[in-house]
Amino acid sequence: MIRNRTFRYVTLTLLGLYVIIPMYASVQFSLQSGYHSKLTLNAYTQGLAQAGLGHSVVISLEVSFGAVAATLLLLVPTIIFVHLRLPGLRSVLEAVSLLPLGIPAIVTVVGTLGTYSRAPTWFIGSPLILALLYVTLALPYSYRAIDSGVRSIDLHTLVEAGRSMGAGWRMLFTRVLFPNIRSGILAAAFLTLALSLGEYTFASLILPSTPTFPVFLASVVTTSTYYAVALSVIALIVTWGLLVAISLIGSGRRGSAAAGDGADEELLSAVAAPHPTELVA
Amino acid sequence: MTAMISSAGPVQRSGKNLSLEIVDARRSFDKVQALDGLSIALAPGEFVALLGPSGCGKTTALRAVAGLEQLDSGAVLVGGTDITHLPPHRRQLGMVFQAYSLFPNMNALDNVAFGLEVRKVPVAKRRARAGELLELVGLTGMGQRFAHELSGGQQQRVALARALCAEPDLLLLDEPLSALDAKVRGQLRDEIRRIQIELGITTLFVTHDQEEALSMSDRVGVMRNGRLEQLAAPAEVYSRPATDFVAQFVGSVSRLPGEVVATGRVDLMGSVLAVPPGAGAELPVGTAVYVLVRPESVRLRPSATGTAVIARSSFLGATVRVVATLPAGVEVSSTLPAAEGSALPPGSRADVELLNDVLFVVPRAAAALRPGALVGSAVNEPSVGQDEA
Repeated sequence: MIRNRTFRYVTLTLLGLYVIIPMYASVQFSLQSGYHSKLTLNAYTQGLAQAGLGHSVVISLEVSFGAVAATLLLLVPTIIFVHLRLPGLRSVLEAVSLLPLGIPAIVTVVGTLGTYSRAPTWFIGSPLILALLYVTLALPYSYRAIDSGVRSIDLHTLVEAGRSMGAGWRMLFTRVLFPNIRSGILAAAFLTLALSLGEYTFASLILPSTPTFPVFLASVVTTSTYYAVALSVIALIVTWGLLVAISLIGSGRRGSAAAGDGADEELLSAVAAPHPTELVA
Repeated sequence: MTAMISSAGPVQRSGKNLSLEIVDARRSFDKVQALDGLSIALAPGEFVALLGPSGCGKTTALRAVAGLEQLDSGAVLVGGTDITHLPPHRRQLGMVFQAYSLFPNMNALDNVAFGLEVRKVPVAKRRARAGELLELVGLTGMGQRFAHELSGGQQQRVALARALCAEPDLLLLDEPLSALDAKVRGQLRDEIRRIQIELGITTLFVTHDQEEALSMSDRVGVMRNGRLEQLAAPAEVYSRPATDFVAQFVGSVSRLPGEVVATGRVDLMGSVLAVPPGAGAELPVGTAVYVLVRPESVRLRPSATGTAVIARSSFLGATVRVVATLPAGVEVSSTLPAAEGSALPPGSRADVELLNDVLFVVPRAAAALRPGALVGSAVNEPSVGQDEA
């Protein structure tokens, strides 16, 4: 018992240090401008004053929320339909959802540009294509988050109970299914959002003339490393704020014990999701 | 629909009292014929149980009525209106499922009121009605509880209230008690029947539990291989089975070897017994048969020179089930008052006496041809408290 407790504390401490030390170093580096001057917010004020920051944030948010919307619109009905009507296809979907992990980003970019070379420029040169690419990029995580949420409820019985009481599909989605897989949906949304906000390779190769926030951040490094780190710290805080907000929304549901456990695990796993600053670095 | 909903006072009768007819229903899954020409008619306000072994098609029949399964052919009529091709949400049915089906995100009151919410009944009215229904099922004051705060029995009560709240044309019960423990099951069984009579709603109930089917229903339909073997009042199904399958599936029987000695008469261990019409009385003289008898028709009396040897006994409270071995190695089961049963310890001898007519007579050759029938132990175990779920 005591050994177990000691092991738990040691593990948690090491894990905490693994996360906290780089964050602490980043904050100190940005506040002291390289550990050799007094504390100052200069890097932050200068970083936030960089030309193009606002536009890159807007582009990043557009792309990221577009990717989230597309992910949810595509995956939630698909996964529910497959669970209800085509359960034999679940293993196929799982395998397909893993493909993005095995395909190098550069291959995806070259393939995308080749495939859509004759597509109109409003599409190939717009943030829209980036949003669609991020849907596939986040698929291994978003699919599992939603699938876990769906598996945590007795989908067939809830659907049949709702239908037998006169509910159409829209009513079922809004009043029964969505509230009971909300944690899984929120986890998928957060994972997609976090990946999209921090992605660099696709953005720099597909939209070089319309930099997203990570691409902008990389360009700031050439001006001042302190500014870039300061902006990374801000991005880190904003992203963690999003996680906390989503966690609060998810735990705000009453009567969640029966439906939310599996999905809540997915939400917790989002803590370990790659952070924008990690991807930028 | 909403005109019937009152904001206070006792729950009103549905007043619809609609009939249900399933006409020549057929449904197959791959190579399995789940429904093979099933036809059944429920009178308005009637409570009918479909009883049968796993895979007999009873649940498929219920789901076809609910619209959750599509028929390959045949029809479902409610109050004379063909609803065969209506989607489930347009059928005006209330259904209680075997699995706990309360919506986890809603409390009991909102669960019950869901059917009225779908029909856009104002919040105050639907909550008042849901409160009445919760009162009807004995859950007054528990409307704010969520599913995980309710026991299994309470969840099924809420599910029943939810199924009834929107005043459905029919009530469909898909083994709603099978996940509950024996005591709760018994209580809820009585309450479901009380409420069904009170509301006068036509009800189709699917179960594999004979005791439930026999004790709750106006009529019991015994199904086998997608067809009805018999549809009759519980007492008739039990005492005058239409087929040897029904005789052996419902209740307990002993299968004793005998021979037809005259039209409508069999020889059983030296005694000549009458065979009721329709129970194998038409078999030709000389046919080797199995004679099916109920345990309560068999009397065992302690006797040092008796032909039967007591093999084992089971204490059932007021009665004792005693199993004795006959000289041919066949076992016969007898239900006796506890005092008489205690006088027959294992290993002792007894005389065998048949109190009533035989239940059914089936040719031994035919019995041998049917897989799983009339093979092995000569005694079916009692249905009391059985739980195959």
